[in-house]
Amino acid sequence: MKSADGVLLRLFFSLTLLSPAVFAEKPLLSLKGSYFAYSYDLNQLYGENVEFEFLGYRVSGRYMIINIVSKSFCVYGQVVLAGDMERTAGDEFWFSPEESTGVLLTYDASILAKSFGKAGETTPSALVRDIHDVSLPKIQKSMFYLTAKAIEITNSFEVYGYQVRLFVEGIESVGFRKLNLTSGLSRRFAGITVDKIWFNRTQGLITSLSHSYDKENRFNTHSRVYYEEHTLLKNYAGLKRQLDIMTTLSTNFANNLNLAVNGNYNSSNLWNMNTILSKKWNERSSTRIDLTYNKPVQYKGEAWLGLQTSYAMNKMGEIAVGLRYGSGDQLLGNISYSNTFLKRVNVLMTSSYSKLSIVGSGESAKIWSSNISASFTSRIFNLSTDYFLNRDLLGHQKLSQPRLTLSFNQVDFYEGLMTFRLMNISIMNESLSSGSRQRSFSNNLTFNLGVKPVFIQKTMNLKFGFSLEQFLEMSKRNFTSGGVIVNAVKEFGKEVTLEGFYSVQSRRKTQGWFIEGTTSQDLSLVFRVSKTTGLEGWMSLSYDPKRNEWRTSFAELSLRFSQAWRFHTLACYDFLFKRINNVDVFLVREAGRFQLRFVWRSLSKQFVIELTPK
Amino acid sequence: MRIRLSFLTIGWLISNCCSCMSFKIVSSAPGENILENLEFCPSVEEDQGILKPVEPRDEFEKDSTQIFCLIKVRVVSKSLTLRWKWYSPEKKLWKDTGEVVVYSGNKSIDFVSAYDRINPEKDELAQGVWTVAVFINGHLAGRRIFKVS
Repeated sequence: MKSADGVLLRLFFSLTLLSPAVFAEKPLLSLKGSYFAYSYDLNQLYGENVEFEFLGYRVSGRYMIINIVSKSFCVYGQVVLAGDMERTAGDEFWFSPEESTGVLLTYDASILAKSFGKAGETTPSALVRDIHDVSLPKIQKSMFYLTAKAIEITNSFEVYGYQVRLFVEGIESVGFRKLNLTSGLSRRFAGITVDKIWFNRTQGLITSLSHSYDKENRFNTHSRVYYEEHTLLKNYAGLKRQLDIMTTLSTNFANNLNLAVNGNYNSSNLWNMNTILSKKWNERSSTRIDLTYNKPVQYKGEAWLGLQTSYAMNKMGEIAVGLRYGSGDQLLGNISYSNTFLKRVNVLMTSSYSKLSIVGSGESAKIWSSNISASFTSRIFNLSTDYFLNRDLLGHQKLSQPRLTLSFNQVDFYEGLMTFRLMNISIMNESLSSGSRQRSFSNNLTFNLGVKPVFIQKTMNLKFGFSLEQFLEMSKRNFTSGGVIVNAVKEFGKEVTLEGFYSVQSRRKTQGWFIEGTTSQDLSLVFRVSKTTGLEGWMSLSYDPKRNEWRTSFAELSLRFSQAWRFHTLACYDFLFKRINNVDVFLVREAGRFQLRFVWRSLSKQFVIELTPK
Repeated sequence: MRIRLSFLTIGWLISNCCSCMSFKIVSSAPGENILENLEFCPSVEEDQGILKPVEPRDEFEKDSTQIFCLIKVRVVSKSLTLRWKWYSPEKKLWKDTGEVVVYSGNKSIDFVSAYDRINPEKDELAQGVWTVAVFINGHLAGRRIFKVS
């Protein structure tokens, strides 16, 4: 049994042993109450008879709901905010601990709202959400939920519970004195965290540590160390051990100035570092400076210094310039200009130059390329033209490619019953190399005619589509392709449908007097069932009328046998070899932010347990 | 080296286990009168003694002749008093049922389903977002909005 890299065990470690961070943060909110229930699946909390301190008030209420994902907090039912000098009562109190603001609602002759705290980025009315977003019955139906007697929420929205009891599928299991309830598959903990200690027969002993620090969205850093020890394995052919270090740091200074540093190191002598300084001058212009060093395995490292800036000139268009200089006298430069004229004409001009070292030869490849494109859009048709020019300054080669595209917008006939589309693309290629000039030309014309579903009976409809394409080359080769698709759907009640699909495609190549081509036909039937009781499935049969033989059959069946568990199977039968190609069987538990799947695949003869975050 | 490392890892896991996990912790239980469902619907039906919503929704037409607010309360013992307050889009009180005693026995009941409804006259229902607040035994237990368009 393969356990998907021990994901379940990893979750168990996260939930039970390893999650309390080494350096716990100061709590943002400390809650006391008679009962708390936290859903690991949904990342939501429900509380009863709650008390806590907020904005200098002692807040109490009958119920409390918290949605960690949307950062919404609410106390409702006989809410009291008791201060040193005042006491305010209401029915519903929504608040933001991050922005130190809140709003108290009272249901009287009208809905009265009273604001508390400073005016933050969020207006008090925006704090009010739907109470039914979080509820105790919803939490109790989670795959993993935990009850606690006290709760602490940190600045990074980690939830710690005291006197915790874990419930798996509603069945009471182990207890914990203190536990980080938010331990998840992708959450970052503040401080140093042991993410993983694991041993398997292919990688040996695996250790993963991470460190995170976040300060008021102004400065944050995340580092991860991953280590594999292979000496514990018998007959391991690779390196004795491997170490990976990854670190990212970003800081926001005042006046829209940001600095980001990323670094990666691998013990196989591979590392890179990237520093980016970006400044947004105003809504129309910005500048970015970056310094990069990259050391690949077995090759010499190289450094690059880059500058990019863009400026929007209102009606005059937008211009962007980029320049990068690299070690070994390497250079990359580009300039682009874009604008829209008379609301319908779009113009884009780009030009770039590169001078890059060719590894081992001591020479540099110099390439200059440009592209000009213009397009016109109207209600009836779109016309676009572009001209591409590439010049290799070292190899003395030149490639130019003008192109013209004309496409008509979809035209409806007979009150939309029939639709028609037409498109034509003309391309010319001209290459110049060592004095010889080569020129080629091609034209591609496509024509599509479609018919909306025609109801033959109340429960049966027919759809029809026709397409024709002609591709003409300068060498007088002519390709003509055409196809017809007929689609019929018959409904047997609301839950059962039978669908038939027939297509015939033909392709002909003409060169002088010689004509060759192929024709293919396909007939398939699909039977679908979608019952409100939770049974869903389809089966398809494919038949080749030209060869008079059955091809393949696919079937998929899904059955929901409880509110959260689902049985799913996929199968494929090959008529040609008269055998079942594959059968996949799934047992799926949908659990809010993750999905647990027990999978058996006949092709690989594997049973896999997968725990995948959504 | 390998054995030493294995012992060290196992020892570290056990020490963590002992310091965190406990089988003595008693789980706390939620209180009574938990509002499990609050739904709006154009009509209700009875199925095995429990009221169920027919085509529940959060949006109604302006000319709707009746709107039900159906609730389901879990674990009821001793007494249960309910109250519905309906607020118009201008946040003014449109209807108040007052305190309604639903149950006052001594036996514990698993579920209680109850509803209040409004029967607006033609063009009486203002367009916008309506609010319904439900009170159980005097305290707010749920609130939900619906839209009239």
